[in-house]
Amino acid sequence: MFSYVIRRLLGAIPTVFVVVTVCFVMLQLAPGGPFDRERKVSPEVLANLQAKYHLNEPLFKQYGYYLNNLMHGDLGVSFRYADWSVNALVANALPISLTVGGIAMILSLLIGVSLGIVAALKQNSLADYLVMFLGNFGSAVPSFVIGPLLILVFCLWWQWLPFGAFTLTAPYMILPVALLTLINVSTLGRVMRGSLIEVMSSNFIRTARAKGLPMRTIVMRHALKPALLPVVTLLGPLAISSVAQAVVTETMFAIPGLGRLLVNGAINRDYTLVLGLVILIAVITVLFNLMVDIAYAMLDPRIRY
Amino acid sequence: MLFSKAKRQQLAQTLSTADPGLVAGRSPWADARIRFRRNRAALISLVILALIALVIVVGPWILPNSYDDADWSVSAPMAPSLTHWHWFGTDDNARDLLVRVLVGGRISFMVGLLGTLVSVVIGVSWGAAAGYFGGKIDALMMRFVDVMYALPFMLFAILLMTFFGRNLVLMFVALGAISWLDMARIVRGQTLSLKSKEFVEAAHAIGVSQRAIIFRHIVPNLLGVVVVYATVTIPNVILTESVLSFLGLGVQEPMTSWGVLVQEGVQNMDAAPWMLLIPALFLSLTLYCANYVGDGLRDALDPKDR
Repeated sequence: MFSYVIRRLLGAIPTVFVVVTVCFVMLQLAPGGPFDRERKVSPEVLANLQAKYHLNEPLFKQYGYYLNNLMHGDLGVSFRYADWSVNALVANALPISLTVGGIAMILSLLIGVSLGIVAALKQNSLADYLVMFLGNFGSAVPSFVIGPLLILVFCLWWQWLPFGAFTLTAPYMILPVALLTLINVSTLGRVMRGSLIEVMSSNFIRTARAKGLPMRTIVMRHALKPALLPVVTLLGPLAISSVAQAVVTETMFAIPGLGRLLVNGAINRDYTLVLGLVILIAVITVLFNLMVDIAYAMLDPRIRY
Repeated sequence: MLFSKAKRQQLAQTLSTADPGLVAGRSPWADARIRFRRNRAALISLVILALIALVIVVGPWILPNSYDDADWSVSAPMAPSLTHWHWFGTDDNARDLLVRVLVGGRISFMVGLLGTLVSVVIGVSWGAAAGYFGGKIDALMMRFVDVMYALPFMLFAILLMTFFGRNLVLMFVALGAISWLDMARIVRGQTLSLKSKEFVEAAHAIGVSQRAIIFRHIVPNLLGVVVVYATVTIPNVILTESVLSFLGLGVQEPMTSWGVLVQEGVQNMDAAPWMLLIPALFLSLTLYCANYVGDGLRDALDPKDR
């Protein structure tokens, strides 16, 4: 087990390396220098600035500095937010994103899995139709359409919930969490339903029935664990897509998290901020995928690592 | 089966004079066509898509309003009504929403098609090359695809838009450049099985260059799969473009797309809910139908399900 984890960790290094290199190349290819402004700085000042940030040295050396800083966890200095390092901006935004995203993830797992179980056991029931409908709905109606509709109905027409600002309190978090949960449940429910139906028709379940076990025991003790495996596999892609969802949701609900920081950085063309965030998010996703794979290997007795 | 010469001639005679509909075999494409026609949902979706496409192409030419001129003879924003052809009302700048939705649709469709084209070109070349050369090159190229898979593609879209500005042509390239991974994987798999076919060996034996073998002999045989996965890619590209435009990173004013219109609708949804609802409806309907058509095509052409 230990060697498997180490092997996978080492395997993740090339991924991160590719991301960092792509980011560095893009930084070089980007039109305009980092110190281009509407008002030109004098050549001497520019030369000083370039010397300070090593921009006057050969590319491979700059790359070395860049890697070195990253190794030390330094994502650089924002080009647009005065007095802010990327690290400080991230430190403010990351907890907010993690809270909202984490609550949504836990809720969607609970709701998605239970809905999927009910739908699979009682096919053509109300829960089954709900899962199918959500699956269709989630694949067609984009989140940036569902979100404003939620705001329109709950905040503007019925005025049940506040809107416009954001704090980490329940009234402000209900809608964003609900939106993220809805989107995830649409995939999770469908997958859980499909996999449980498949498991329920397999031989060992027939044996369990033949032994005369009650339905409850069959599902809870025998069917649930193998049926959950595809859901675990889905967590990786789900985490990746929730980055995109987070970007949209945070912009829509004015949540000061990583996603909004990223969009604002992109709109202001804050190169270092965007690059730092991309590297950070990429590393987080890679690590998360790694954990999912390891969890999978631990859950599935058929996998020998 | 062994036939005598006389019997063979007789058979040939019967076959040549018989009603062609009676004996004629069906090509795989005809088979697929029949299967697709049986799929009611996919067929209806295709009709709806065709209607939307027709309206967005023809509409802006016929309608008297333009997408970027304000009509100051009416209040802004104005609810949908039949006056002055403002069937969908006007937006907060008194511009006609009907024409804006149609012009936005043109951009969204065009981005979908051209972005998919870029992704097809990259994906097919990459996948065919990896599958054809095999060995270390294949492992390396596919390892790269795996690496890209593990990363949120939205990041790359935002990254590309940050660095290369919000230019329409670059957007096609950027969107195509992030959606070719599935295509590369599928094409590689197909190429691996095609590579061992006799006609490829024959081409190799008579000294055709590797480049020519890939593009003249292997790629044409991949067309079926490529067409299907391109149809599946189109709605995804449209969706990504709308998300980017919604975030303000895509199409810029006064040009518009459905993502931009939804965003403008969000800004004004309190006073003018139709500005949100109408473009949202068009976008959702298009994505919904395109997904059904893609699934239908895949079911019709996928040899696995026969």
